[in-house]
Amino acid sequence: MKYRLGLSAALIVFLTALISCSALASAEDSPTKTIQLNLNQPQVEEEPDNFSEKYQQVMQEITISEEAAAVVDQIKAAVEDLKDLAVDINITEIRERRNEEVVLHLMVSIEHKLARIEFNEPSAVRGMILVANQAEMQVHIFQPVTNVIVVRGLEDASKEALVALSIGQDLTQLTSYFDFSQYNVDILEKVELEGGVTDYLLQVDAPEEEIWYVRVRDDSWFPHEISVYEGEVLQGTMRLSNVELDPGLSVEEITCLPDAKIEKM
Amino acid sequence: MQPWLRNLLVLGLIGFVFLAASQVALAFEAEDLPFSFGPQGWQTGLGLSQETVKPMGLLGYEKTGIGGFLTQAEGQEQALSWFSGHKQVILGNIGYSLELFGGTTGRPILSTFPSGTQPHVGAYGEFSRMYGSVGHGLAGQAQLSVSEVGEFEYSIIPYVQFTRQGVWRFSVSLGSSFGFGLSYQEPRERVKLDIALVSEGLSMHVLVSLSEHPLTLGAGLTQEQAQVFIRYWF
Repeated sequence: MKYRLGLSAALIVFLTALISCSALASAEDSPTKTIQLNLNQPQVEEEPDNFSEKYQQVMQEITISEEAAAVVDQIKAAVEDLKDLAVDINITEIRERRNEEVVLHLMVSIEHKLARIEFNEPSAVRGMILVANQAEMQVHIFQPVTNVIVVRGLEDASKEALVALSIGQDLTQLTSYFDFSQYNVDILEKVELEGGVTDYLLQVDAPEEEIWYVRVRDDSWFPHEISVYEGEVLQGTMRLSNVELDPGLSVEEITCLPDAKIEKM
Repeated sequence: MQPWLRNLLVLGLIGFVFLAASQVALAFEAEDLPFSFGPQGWQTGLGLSQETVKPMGLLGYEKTGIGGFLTQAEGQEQALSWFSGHKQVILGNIGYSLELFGGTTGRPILSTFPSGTQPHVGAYGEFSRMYGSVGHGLAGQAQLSVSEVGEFEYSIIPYVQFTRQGVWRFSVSLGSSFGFGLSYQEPRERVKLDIALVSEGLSMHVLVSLSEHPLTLGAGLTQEQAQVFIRYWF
């Protein structure tokens, strides 16, 4: 995860990638429900290389306690089994002594291949609604400033986002947002909450000298706070609240937009 | 100023606007035939417009275009014309636009309401900032008459805007004339309404687009004149 580029950026790309992935198959399509990226490139047969060997080698070098490994597996399983999701996201990014905050509501239906973002903060994007439809390969963006719904091709919009974020070179990382199994993970803290719920604080040694502090509770196993440090310096924090896993979102709930003129680009 | 020089200036400006603003104007994408009735009697003509849209990031875009119309009034020797080139940029909740124009009729309110005036050139700019369903903005217009007098007019128009069953805008006009304005735009822009009370008096304009037919109906009323028109788009 390229938190160096900003948590908000990462989130948008994550969303874009989610709905761009044609292989986000439903449970009927794939029993394992792995996330794969379809980058609209012609598929070629895998050439034999030593990637798997190197991967195994790297994995063997990772030290992780049994308890930490169990937590990591639970998180991974929670994400893998998702059909749809609704969550409030608060992203605070620290840029040159300034805190930049993005608040949004995210709804994703893997089953219907739809995603919706409602921006609440900052004011520069407040009221904007973005609906991405992977089946139709379109993005609808409601623009309050013109009271118009702009329709764009999903592929073009994805490229815009990726170019803006400069991470188009390594899209495969998008699939591992909540998969910490490839990193060294320590449990720093375990707090027993009311109702028998345990809150874990994980330290994840991420690549490029980044350290992620991930908070997750064992009632959902969905991370509710991720802080990113570069060395000793806090880069930003993403808080996830009002998480609804598999709430059964309907197509109408995700795609409804204000009554406005539609302009195709 | 000599009439030939005046006409040359207007034509020159129109040519400049076309050349400067058109990017790939291989063909006009919207054409219409306006038929109107007003103080000059029946007027008919032709309107053309061309616009290109370029995405700017995920949440922004830029529109560049040209447009204009030419109408001939019954029994009048000179045709009325109005041409412009414009650029609009939208970035999130921030939008701004710039328009350069020239012609022999006033800048259209909502749409074309031809009313003869001195040949002129001018510029219109607008900055808009929304905060979700409410926002504010500032518009400004300057116009120089291409005549012997060379009259200069300008106006600065701050406004507030909110969205509720459409877009409502309340504005104040400052500058060469003082007044207040109210405009309403139905959510799908099928109905537009503009009411202004300025030094010259009260004016009202309404525009209705028929969604099933390529027609736009308009009516305008000012202290001096009333006008109705039909525009047929093809």
